[in-house]
Amino acid sequence: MKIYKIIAIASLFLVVVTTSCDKALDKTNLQALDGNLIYGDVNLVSLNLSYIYNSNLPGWFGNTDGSISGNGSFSDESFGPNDFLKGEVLLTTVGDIGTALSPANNYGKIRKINEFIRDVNAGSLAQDVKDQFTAQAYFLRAFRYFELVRLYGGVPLVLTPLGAVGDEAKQETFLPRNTTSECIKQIAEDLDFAIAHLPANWTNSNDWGKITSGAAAAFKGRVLLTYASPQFNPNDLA
Amino acid sequence: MKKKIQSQFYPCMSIKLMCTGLLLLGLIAGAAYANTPGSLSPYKSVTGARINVTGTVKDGKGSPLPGVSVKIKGTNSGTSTDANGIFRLNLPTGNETLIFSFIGFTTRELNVNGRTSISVVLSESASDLQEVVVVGYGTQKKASLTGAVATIDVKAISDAPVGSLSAAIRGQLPGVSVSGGYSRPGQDAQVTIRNPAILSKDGGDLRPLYVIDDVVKTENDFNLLDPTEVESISVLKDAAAAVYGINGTQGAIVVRTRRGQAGAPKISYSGSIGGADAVSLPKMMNGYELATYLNDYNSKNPNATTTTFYSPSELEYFSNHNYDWLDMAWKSSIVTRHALNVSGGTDKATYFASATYNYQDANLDGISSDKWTFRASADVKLATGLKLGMALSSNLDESKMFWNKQGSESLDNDVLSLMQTPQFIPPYINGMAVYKSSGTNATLDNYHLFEVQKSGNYTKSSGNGFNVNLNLQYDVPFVKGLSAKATYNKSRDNTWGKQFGTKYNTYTFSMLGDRSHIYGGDVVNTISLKNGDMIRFNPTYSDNYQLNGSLNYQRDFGKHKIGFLALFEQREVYNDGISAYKEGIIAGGSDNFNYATGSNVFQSQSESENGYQSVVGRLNYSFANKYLFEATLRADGSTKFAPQYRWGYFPSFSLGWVISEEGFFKDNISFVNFLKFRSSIGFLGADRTKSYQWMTTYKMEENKGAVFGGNNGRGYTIAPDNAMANPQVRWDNATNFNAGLDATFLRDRLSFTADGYYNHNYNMLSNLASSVGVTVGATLPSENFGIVNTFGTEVSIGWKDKIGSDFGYKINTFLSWSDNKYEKFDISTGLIGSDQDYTGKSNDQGVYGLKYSGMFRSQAEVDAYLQEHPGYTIFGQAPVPGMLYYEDISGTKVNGQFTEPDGVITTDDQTYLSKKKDNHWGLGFNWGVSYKSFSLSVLMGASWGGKSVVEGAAQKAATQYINRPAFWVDHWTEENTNAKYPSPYYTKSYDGVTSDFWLRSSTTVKVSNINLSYSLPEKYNKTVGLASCRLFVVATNPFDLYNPYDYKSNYGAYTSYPTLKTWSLGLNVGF
Repeated sequence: MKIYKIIAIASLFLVVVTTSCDKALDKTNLQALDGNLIYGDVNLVSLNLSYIYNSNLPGWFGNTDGSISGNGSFSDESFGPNDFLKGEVLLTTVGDIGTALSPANNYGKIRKINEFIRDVNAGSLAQDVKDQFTAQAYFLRAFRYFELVRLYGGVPLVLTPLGAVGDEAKQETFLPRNTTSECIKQIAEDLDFAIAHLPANWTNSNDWGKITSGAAAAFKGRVLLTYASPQFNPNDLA
Repeated sequence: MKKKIQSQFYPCMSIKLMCTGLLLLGLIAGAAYANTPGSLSPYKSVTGARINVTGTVKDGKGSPLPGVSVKIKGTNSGTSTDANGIFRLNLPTGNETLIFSFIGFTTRELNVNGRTSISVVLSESASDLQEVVVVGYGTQKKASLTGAVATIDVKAISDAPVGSLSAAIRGQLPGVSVSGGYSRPGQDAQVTIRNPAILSKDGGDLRPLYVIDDVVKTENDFNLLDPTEVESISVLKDAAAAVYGINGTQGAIVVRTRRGQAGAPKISYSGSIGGADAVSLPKMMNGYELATYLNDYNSKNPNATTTTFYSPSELEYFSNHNYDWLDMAWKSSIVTRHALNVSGGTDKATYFASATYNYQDANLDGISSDKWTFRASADVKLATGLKLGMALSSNLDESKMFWNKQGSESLDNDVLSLMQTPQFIPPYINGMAVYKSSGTNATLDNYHLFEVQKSGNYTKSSGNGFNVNLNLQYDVPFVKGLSAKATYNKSRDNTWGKQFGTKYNTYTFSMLGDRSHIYGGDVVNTISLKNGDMIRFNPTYSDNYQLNGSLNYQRDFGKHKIGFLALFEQREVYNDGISAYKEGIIAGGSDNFNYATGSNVFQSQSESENGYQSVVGRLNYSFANKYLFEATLRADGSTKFAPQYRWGYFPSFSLGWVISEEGFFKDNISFVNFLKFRSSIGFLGADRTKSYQWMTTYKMEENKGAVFGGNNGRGYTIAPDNAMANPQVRWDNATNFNAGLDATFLRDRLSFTADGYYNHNYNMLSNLASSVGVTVGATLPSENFGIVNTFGTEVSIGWKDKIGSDFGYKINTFLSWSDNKYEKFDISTGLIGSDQDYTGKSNDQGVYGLKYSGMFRSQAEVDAYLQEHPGYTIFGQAPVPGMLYYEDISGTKVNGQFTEPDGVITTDDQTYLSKKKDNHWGLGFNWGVSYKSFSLSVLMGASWGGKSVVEGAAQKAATQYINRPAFWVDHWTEENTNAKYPSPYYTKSYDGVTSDFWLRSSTTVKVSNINLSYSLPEKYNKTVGLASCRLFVVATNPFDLYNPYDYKSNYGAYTSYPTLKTWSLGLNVGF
């Protein structure tokens, strides 16, 4: 009698051991999407591109990421005193644009674009489909860099997502400023790619509103005009 | 899709082999048992040579001792005494030595010498050196410990009227700090061991590892235990925790729950009921004081007009009509606790069952917390050497708080909004709730808690958990001293989170008074305020199991004692949860989806899984109880890391030398009874970081897309996660070194323990946000980077004695000190080399701020000062009377270095104002006296060494909508130039400006617990049919002996729920 009980209990342990052993360390992240599923599917890639479009849309007062927004608080109609009106502004009063690591500032948006270009090119779509997707990303990258160059002149050009783990990779993130001419050249190159691979108009009405080759060309014209304007070319050199 | 990850198979194989071996042994045993008919009990003779021995074990007073372990020396076999203190044993030769041991009594060895009847008297041990201490995966005698292991006297904490076990162990041990647990009901205390350091901000914490009945559990599982369900609590502070590998770096708390003891059923009940009230409520300005303050504030304000000022008649009105909202809402609350348990059995099977209930309502109507726990266990001897243990435990708990959705959601906003409401505002006028700020948005300033109480808003969490623990232990025949054990533990927990918030109406009035500052008159406007206005559910579910298989070998060879343990452990953790809500609660509707008019919103799902596998080996060796040695090796695999970085190997070694056992010592030094040196080193690891950081992940989001092609809604988007991946992320490393000595003197009455530790943490997972350029544009992952050393000492001295037979007393004091050294950590490039760069130093460099010079009391003082310091400004503001001013010590810092003073005060003039910020010294002074049936025990503690800064909220200026602490009454005005506090209008000179002005001492001296009890003498117990009866009064936080603040208690920020003191009356009876 008793031996059967013992065998039963022992078997219970045996069952538990044998069934659960191999799988204990076979786990995955259940809170995120697996990247391998995305970049072979046109619809899913469009969703990623939609994210990039959205995050690069201009805001109400133009693309001002800083704390100074153009509202009435700087006029004498404003109620209540502030540092600007009292004339007590210090260097630390104005939070500068993008001094901290953030996915929301210019370089954060540029990273998302660079990641998109990397992931789409690594994916399994046909080359012309890939080009049409990346062309839109290249346009938006040019759009971002133009915003920066307009405000700051030459800025560090980041064209692939930077790594940041390990001493070497960290050092590589402290990029020197590129010259303004290098930046303008890169912007023009990105726009040239966009002009070459984008349609003149989108046939599917669901795509209306996306960048076309004409829009890219027009934007290139604006970039080059600005670069030729007195802001960058005060002596009006040819 | 699940990504298949090839797990490394060798540890898995070893467990299978081990478990299979164990099972085979079990089967052999069963078979052997089945083949010996008639061997029903272990003490019956099976061979002619064996001898039956019976005996009784009594204590010093002659009462029989049940449950005493009787073992044959050098083997694992033995028995225990029954309810009458009687044991029966079958001995092979009759010349064996028997070992009698029982917790709280000196272990005795006795040679049988052919006797068949033995009588043994065990004396209560004066020292606890003979005590058996629970350590990782086993027990050890305290005298032969080689690590820093401290035990908590469970009896001493069993009366504590607290809701969490963590709170009950406060002030008991050096190096174990407990914070919180004595304020808001339902919020548990938190334990840290020694001074752990962590650099990872994602998923890491400073808590120790909790192990309950050999199973890794959560902090919450520990807190849910009632003290009466616990047999022992050990705290492993050093490499003694290395046997637990993962997260043993921050120490381990090892709990054994109570099991049945042989004997007639013993029923015991313990209960207490008491009241809780705030140690002290914060002192705020009353309505009159605030109005006066605001007049003084506005007298400097160029924007103020005549109507801004409160008129004398209005002030007069306020002085007679004051409404202290917090005081109106606050009441004393009830704390109650009941525990009932029963234990009994025979020497073949024992049982234990218990139910406990804990309830606390709060000092604000609408908050409460309760907890039920249930436990039942049985231990059965199935056959010779084969034991089965089963335990079921379950808990039901619920805590209910206000759902404070106005402003930023925070639990403490209930008390905060009450205390910050200006006291010239009445809560109701003619039964209509008063709107108390400007604008129409729902903010913290216009949060009307009385209306929220009326609407029944709450956030509630109800939990239930069920835990099954099965274990099978087998003493292997033929191999003396070898036993095998398998444990399987399964638990499932559910929490049901429900939140309910509504809208409520408040009213603005035409206002009375000659400048319209008195609330009253006709209703002008109805303002509907939205406190969430939704019903939300967030249920969670967790499913865990743990499986252990082990082989244990213990044997004595003459003076050599050898112990060996091989163990496999595997556990998996699965969590899931969702949240969903619906907005638009209709007026007067109840907390049900049917009463919400918004759309159903499914908010999120949180699902996660993790797995761990471990293999452990341990070797113990001791020679003549003099030289002690222990070595462990543990391998851990964690799914938090990529497969190639998954396994970590964590060895540890420890040594002990009991000098008092040496002949030269014993013969020459008689006042020392015991002296042991011990030292341990452990190479440990931790995985305290977010899971799956090694994988690049993508997220899908709704309603975030750009809109193309007409009037479509915003669609889904996919994007890489903002946080980057780090494929190389792996274990933290730590080398924990500890050296200590234990000694007892003067007939074991004086005991002394000292420990010093040095923990070298390296490859610490760190967030390196400031170490890279902003061009990266992403949140950085944790990285194995930092190096932090933590170190400290702990000394405890105890004295225990009796004077005559009636009077006894004991004192236990301990002193601890700790600090750290940050060798390598994330420091922003701008601070490298500056005075704020604490590389190579403690991260506690003191309070950083401006050097306070004084307050300008008059224009003459300002003029004189400007004469000496032309162009002097304070944060851009020219000095005026009533301002605080500071010492100019530097111009703009260059490369983090001070430069020549530039004549103006900016943040560059900051320097360290005190040596330390935190208290690095701690003292415990616990004492007790007993006289006949009375006993008193008192827990006292002190800490010192740091400086605190008055909290930011208190530094801010009050407004007509926000009240501030009462010290602001004494502010500078032309009439009160000797004020202690500055003129409120010049906020730049004091608000958020850390300086000596706001510094206070952080010293604390507190009596944290008093327990007075009276045990009914035995002769009275008998007449009423009780086994024991004890009455007690217990107080928590009764006295605070030092308080540098005049507006709050010395228990933390005034803006959070006040710390409570409780007085309870309790009863403890045994049947």
